[in-house]
Amino acid sequence: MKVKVFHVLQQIQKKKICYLFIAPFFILFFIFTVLPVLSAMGLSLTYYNVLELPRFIGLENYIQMFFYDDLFIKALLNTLTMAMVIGPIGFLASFILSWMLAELNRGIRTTLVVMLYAPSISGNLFLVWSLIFHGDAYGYLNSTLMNMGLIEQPIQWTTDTRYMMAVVILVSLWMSLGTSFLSFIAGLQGVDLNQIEAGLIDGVRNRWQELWYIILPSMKPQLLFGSVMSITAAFSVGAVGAALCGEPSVDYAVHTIINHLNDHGITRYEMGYACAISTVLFFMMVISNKLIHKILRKVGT
Amino acid sequence: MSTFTQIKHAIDRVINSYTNDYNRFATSKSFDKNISVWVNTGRDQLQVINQLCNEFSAEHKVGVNLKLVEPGTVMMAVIAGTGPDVNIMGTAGEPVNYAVRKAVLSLNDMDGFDEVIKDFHPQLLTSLTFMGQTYALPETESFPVMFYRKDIFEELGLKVPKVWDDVDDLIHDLQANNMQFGPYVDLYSILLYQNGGAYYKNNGKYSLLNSLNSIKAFNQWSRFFVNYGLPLEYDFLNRFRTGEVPIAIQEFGMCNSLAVFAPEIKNDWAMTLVPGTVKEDGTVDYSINCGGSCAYIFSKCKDNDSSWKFLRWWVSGRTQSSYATQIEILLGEHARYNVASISAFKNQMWNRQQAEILSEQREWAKGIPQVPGSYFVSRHLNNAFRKVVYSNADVRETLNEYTEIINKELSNKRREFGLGEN
Repeated sequence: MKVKVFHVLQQIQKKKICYLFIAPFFILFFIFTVLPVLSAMGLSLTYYNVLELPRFIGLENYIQMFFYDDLFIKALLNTLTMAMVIGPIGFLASFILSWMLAELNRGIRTTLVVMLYAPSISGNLFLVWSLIFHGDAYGYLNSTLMNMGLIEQPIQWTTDTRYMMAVVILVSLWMSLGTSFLSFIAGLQGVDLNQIEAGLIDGVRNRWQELWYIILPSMKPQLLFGSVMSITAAFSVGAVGAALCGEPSVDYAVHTIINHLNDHGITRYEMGYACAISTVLFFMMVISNKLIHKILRKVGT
Repeated sequence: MSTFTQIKHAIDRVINSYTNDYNRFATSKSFDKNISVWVNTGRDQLQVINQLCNEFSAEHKVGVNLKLVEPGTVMMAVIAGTGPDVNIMGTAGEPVNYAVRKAVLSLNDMDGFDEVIKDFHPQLLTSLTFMGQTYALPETESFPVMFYRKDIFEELGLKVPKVWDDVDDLIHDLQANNMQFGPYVDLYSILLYQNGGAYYKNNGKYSLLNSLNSIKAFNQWSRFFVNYGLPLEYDFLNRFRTGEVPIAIQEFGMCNSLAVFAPEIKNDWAMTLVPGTVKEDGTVDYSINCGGSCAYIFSKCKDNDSSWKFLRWWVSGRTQSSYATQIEILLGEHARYNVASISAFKNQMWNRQQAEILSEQREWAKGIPQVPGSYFVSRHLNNAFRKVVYSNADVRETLNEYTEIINKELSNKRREFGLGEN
């Protein structure tokens, strides 16, 4: 044991320049990311109403969450439904679009990339969708449908539980060409042309083989990055639903874990419970990331 | 100006932008006693408040540090221990919510409290009071009145409804002319109070959402949408202006917006009382809900005495009146500040007809109590409403179902704060 510690210290001593270089990032990362995560885990074991000091209550929050809180289960199911649709479709769409864009010449490509990427950097621009799906007879979609004679009464897209989920998924997909999309484009441009040529000589017969055996394996880091981004995005959906359908949404139809967390932490001042929710969410993300890594390891084999 | 001085000036401005806190105002002279006051409003308004605070400081020898903050900030600052002594222009739900967590001072025992509240309609204190303790004082008030287009009513020979039965007839006539009756967001509260109902029993122990009066009110409310197809969402100002919705129930503050937004129909509309319900003895009940912003003192404040002095001064008719006047001069009619203080209201520039209607309607105002967990009531009332309107669910059954959920949350919250279980 002692020898091991000594060995580690010796290594640090040897590579102190490297540690010095990562120090600025690490210090900030520790203060603003690691520490909050750890303190949230600690607070999840307490009763904490924000205004008074936290009181230790053991696992009560978790027991409440898993055995008594019907709404948590509902939020979990909603989140998984959205994650299942938005995550894979968003990921695949990002890849296929960037693969297609890689074929175009530079000028057109840049223009198209900007156009496709714009929705996800535009912040709250998805609010334009609230005009389209407005429940007023003059909402874009309602008035169009009414003019075409398809409906008589305006449809309440964002408060009628029959339509809310579809609306939120649609808008989320529109925004899903995010950072992963950009990284794919960069990755596709970084593929070594010599390898493709060598592949042609060695008997690659079509573009699919080229994609599977050459392009994808050499893009693994970008794919990994993209998947991590998609998963985090898919699990933390909530902002779109909250903005379009309100928080909490009618009959909790698009209530996700993030909305549930906000509801408890901010509306009801139950910060301890909210921290427990966030801890569970954190581990869900970690586990699904591990799963994706396993799947991606099979690419190109 | 030479290029050099211009560059220097620009650099100075950048540097100053780091050292100068544009969100902070302080009274000019320094005093031994100082209190900090946070406001959630616009910068123009803050400037007016600051001028008024200077007068306060001169009179009471207490310095006031004003700070402009965003709504969510106060909470966090209080947690961090860097919060203010007094918060003004807060929303009505805050004081009781903070008070059950011991963050806000009760004002009942303050010197001259009984005298101060005489200047307000007593119902405005309902949402600021819990278990007999009042935690804040009202600044503004808002309640619904009915707006209608005189020209359209005259042309079609329609009568302005006085009671809800008249509204039924009116809706038929309006719809025959391709027009609509404009419903009010919180129609349920109006109908509930007019049917003699209440929101809670025993200081918020139980929700009365499934009581007979409530079911009656709920039925009446949802019927407008299920049977008559009134618009669930509509833009009042635009529709009223075009005449598509020639009659609507809205907050009375809308008349300021109308004055600016639709000057072309300036003389063609009027305000009147919200339709009432005929009671068994033949009299008509015009009850409506009311609310508004408020000011309160945090329990961590360093100087209770000075803070109370400030609060008392701020909500007084004299201060509110001069604030309202200056704001209206500065920003125009649309920014009219709807003072809660009755003595200040009398000084405002309402015309005689408007002032009469507002005073009469105010007499019928009833506040909605705030209790721990009351956010669940509005939430599930909305859920129940959507369920009934969209999928024709049974009213009684739906209300029973949601009342159970609400009562569970209310009793959870009561247990949390040691208020005794149900």
